[in-house]
Amino acid sequence: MSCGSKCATGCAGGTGRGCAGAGRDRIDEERRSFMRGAAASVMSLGAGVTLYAFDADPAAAREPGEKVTAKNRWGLLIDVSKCADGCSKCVTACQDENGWRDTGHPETDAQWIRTLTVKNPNNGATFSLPMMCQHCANPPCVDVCPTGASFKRADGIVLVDKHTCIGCRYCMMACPYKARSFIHEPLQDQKPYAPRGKGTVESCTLCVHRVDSGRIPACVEACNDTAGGAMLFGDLNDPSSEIAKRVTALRTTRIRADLGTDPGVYYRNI
Amino acid sequence: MPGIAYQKLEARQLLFWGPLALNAAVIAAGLGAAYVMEHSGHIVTGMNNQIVWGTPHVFAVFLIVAASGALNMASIASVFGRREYKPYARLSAILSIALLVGGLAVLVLDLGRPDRLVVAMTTYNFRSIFAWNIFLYVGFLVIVTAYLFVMMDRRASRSTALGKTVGGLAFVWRLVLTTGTGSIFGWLVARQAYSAAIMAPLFIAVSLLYGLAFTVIMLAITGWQSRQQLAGSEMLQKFRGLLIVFILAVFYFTLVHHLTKMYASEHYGIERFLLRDGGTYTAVFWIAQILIGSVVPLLLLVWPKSGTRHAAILIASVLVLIGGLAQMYVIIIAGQAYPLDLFPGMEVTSSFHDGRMAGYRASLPELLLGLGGVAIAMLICAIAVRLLPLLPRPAT
Amino acid sequence: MIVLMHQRDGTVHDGIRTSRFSLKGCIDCHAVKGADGKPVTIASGDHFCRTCHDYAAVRIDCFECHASRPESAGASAGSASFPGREHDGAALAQYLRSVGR
Ligand code: SF4
Ligand code: SF4
Repeated sequence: MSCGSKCATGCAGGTGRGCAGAGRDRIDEERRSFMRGAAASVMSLGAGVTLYAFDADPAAAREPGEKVTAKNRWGLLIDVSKCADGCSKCVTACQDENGWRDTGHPETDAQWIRTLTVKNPNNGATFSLPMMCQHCANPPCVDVCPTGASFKRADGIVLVDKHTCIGCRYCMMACPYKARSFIHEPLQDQKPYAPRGKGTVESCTLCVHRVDSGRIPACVEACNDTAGGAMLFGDLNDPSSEIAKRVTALRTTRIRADLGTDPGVYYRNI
Repeated sequence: MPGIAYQKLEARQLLFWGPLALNAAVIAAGLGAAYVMEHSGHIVTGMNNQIVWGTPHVFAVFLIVAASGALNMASIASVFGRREYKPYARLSAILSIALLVGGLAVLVLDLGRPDRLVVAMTTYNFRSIFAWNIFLYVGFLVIVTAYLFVMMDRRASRSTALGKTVGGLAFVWRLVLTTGTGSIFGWLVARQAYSAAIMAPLFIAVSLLYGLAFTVIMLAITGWQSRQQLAGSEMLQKFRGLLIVFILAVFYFTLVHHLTKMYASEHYGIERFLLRDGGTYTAVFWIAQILIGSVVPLLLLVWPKSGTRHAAILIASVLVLIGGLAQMYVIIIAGQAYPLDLFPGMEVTSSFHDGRMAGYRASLPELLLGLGGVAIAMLICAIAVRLLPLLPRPAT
Repeated sequence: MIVLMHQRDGTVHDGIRTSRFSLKGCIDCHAVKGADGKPVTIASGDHFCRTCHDYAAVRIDCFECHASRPESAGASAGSASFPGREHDGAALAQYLRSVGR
């Protein structure tokens, strides 16, 4: 957004890295002022709880023509205690945004995000949470993919390059989170910014098209606008970001962290 | 190396062309099925987002491991210097090439985008065990073809050293290949049924067994076609002994695999599912894999009255292959049917089949595709033995 | 196409999102209006990409996954209509000039 062009002017001509080095302070300065001004995206939830939908402008780090770098690592923090039973606002938002839908074939339909209900068999206690691609730092799906179609972008977003995916589904065998879907039928009328097609595998893209233009993922936006505000998106690598601060200060959980996948999605109050 | 004579298949017209036409028909049906799958998508199969690998993979993995095992005769003859196996070396080499081609064809035709085969052959991710396997398979084809040439070429076959070198290379390669195939599953940490180093030796054992069974059956078929006894009684007794050893080896690794899993409470769920509560999967395991595929053939072979009979050895081989398909079914499909453990110790439900045993029913197209792979292997063999002197002379 | 291929990797892997690197950008401008006034999809022989690829008899699979028309109907659809299905080179060139803004 606005900061993107300002930053770019601030160190015009510099490459991503050089720019970061030379203008580090300047960018931080910009970022802070951006946060102060981003009141519109700050919600007050009463009882003194304030939640930032998005704490830094992703475009601040980079202009559209610039490559993504490992300077950022995008992630989510999801406060499960704010997920109401039966709420599926994030799921619907993702469907609308990315064009996957229920076609009446539950076994074969794609699901990029779903709500899980978890019950303790000993005492019956339950909670719900949204589950999607965890954007692992050590993604098994990427390790096993024979063609390299599954890949991790420098900024931590795990994607499938559908131009090289041969549809072998080995990544689906390897993903510990059941995050991926195979397209079993020909599709029509895809969203222009979310290409998807028969014979390839897909999963949550963390709304990469939005992130690249400085917006937040559709699920996070919907949750903040119409539901409990359970989701926070941001740059885990930026110590001044809200998500990084919270992940450092609060007790969080990552699902199946024992597998060493180092997920980018953190949960709280599990 | 004088003294060993080979022959081409001399069969009466109908005996040769009949089976050939049958194979061709099955292949045509398999290709048709693959076209339907590509055109309409995998919706026409029983596979879904829970069971992502289905019947085609059962057949493909079955054929691929059998391919490596089919090289048994050649390896025993060249690497271990057992001359009595030499007459079967050529047949075993062509059989292993044929089985591998059949298996790979199924694997490729099942891809979501088979039209991108070029991508698969040119773009590699070297961290992927799957990508390594592509090299292992292609390398295997090249090496075994060279091996066959060395065995058959008048001048090359005179050099024992050359035969031993290429034979040795093929031997090592096939062990690596089967290890690689087993590791496709063994290295999947995400799933309860897999993630075990023992998958690699297990796959080596099954490859020895299936490969030998295929060889015995192939000898019987070509013998029937040419109205000759291609393996003498003495040889059949050796096959019998090997079959017994291999069946026991497979049984041993299966047992250790399950015992290891059963001991850890973490894996109680999957073991209970596979061995007791899995419905069809459990039935396939106990009835098809264990009873039909191991116990009955073992009894047939060790029982003195039947064990020495040719028919018993042949029937045992057929049963072993049926059990082999069942074993692949249990490993591949039942292994996926058990849900992922997202929250160990908790009960999970969702709209995406979390926490539920997945159902799977093979559809006609995938079945035809799998059988088409077997037919491809058989067709290659049939044509090769007709055109080239690959078969042993009848036992006198 | 080779040009698009290179840019494709830039977008997918490196997140380069300028319109020069975007197939969506191509489609947004080169949309062709059909009889109903809405941009046509790849199912129509008049689709910008198809005119040449049909002429050269080269099948493309881009639109098995990608949307073949802009999302907001009529956003910037050209008013050009295809000269006919004769597929003669001159008519094609003229047509391309009219839609290739
Ligand atoms: S959650 Fe699954 S699909 Fe997503 S990065 Fe991790 S392994 Fe890959
Ligand atoms: S299905 Fe596609 S993305 Fe997944 S492992 Fe195979 S080629 Fe890679």
